[in-house]
Amino acid sequence: VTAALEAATSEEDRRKIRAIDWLVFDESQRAEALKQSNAVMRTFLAMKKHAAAKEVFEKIPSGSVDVINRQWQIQNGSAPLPAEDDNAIREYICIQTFLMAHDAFNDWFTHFHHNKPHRPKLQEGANFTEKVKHEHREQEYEVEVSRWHHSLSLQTDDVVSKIYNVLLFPDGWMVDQRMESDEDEGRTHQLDLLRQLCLPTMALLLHTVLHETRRYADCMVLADIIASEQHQLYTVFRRDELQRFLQKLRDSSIQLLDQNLDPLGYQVSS
Amino acid sequence: LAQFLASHEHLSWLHDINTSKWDKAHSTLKTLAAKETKYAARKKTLLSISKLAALASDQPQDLIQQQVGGINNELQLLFFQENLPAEVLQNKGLDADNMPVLAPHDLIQLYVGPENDRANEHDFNKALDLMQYIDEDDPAYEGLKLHIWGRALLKDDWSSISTDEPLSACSHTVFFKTVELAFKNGVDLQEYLPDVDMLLSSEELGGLKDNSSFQYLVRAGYEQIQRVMTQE
Repeated sequence: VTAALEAATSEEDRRKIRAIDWLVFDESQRAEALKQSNAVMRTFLAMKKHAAAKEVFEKIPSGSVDVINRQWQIQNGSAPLPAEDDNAIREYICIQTFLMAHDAFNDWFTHFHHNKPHRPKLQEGANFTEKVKHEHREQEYEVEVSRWHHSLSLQTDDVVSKIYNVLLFPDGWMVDQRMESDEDEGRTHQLDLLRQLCLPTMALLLHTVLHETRRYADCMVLADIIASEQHQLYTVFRRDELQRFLQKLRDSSIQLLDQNLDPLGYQVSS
Repeated sequence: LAQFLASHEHLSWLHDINTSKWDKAHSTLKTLAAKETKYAARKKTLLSISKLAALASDQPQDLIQQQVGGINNELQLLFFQENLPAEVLQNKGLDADNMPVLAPHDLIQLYVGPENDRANEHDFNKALDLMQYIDEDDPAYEGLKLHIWGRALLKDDWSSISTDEPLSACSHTVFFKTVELAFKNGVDLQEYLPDVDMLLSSEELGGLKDNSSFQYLVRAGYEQIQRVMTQE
């Protein structure tokens, strides 16, 4: 999974990341620096180089939005920020939301697949002392498993809400809210491509998390979000991606039937 | 399992998805949604999966758009239900997470009725939007129209409004704000605004019916509405 989700950072990428240090040096140039950083991060995200995108993100000082607003006011008084600065700030927050969801998924994945305690084995023909020891280890194991379940449940809540933050980003993830007179068509096109690339993936990851943690009824409700006219998420899915998504919903539904519930997880009446 | 799924309508769509019969999954789910009365949330998910199945099919684009349009119409009706004010749900003892499916008639009643004590022009416009879901041949159709506007009239204390400048004096009433908003939203007022005589003689108005300054104010307002509508 990790290989499919993550591409390695090259030496060329490293040069681009280092260049950000120079861009953020001068506060009066922060708006420009943010636009350049966004452009670099867009490219990294498009190539699934999330680690590289995150490195760029971390080079942008955390108070940059305030710096941009303050610098604008120094030079232009109370006039509102230009559309392209506003859009850049919004894009920066969209990228942050995405990177946070991605990190949360990686943490969840590690915890789910690698941190699960292993049940101790009792050798055949074990003597009394070994049996007593084993019993003790079994008890410890039970405690660890319940601890693991507890923290899994917390991590699951965390990753679910962070992925929802991307899917339900107010007025759409990576959608500009202000139109510019001289729109940068290349940038607009890249934003569209990123929506098509990242949003179906995020939806599938969310399904994976919910399904693996047996929250099957929550899986089915995902259909409401994807199909909603308000959020328009279905429009960024290709036909084959929709088909794959429906297959996944079917898998969850079969699990619900197995629990003697109806296909959407409701109690079967009569 | 395949045979079992195929033989039960409420499960057959699972089989259709597995065998890539997207169109069939779409129509089965739509039928199931139409039959659903117990849970609004379940109806919504059935419709949503049905919509995604339509979009996943390789039928001609215009057919898909038609199918999606039909589903959206149904989802929009549920949207009106989901957006009932919390106060109304409470007054009716409805639990937002476990509501049964409400009929358009009921929704209109809930938006304009006594359960919605603080109903404003937006609520009355939602009720007007909901009229699209009532069949014109439905015997209740005309009555519902009168009911919506009658309830809007009852929201204000007309006896305190001066008749000197009727148009400006009435402009802040819920009734005329509803007209204004409906006009702005492109609602077909010719269709949904009842005849002034019918409205003013409606039983719904109770004692207000016999108040002559009220009659005068509403008639003056109606004339203005007619003028604006014919100018359009």
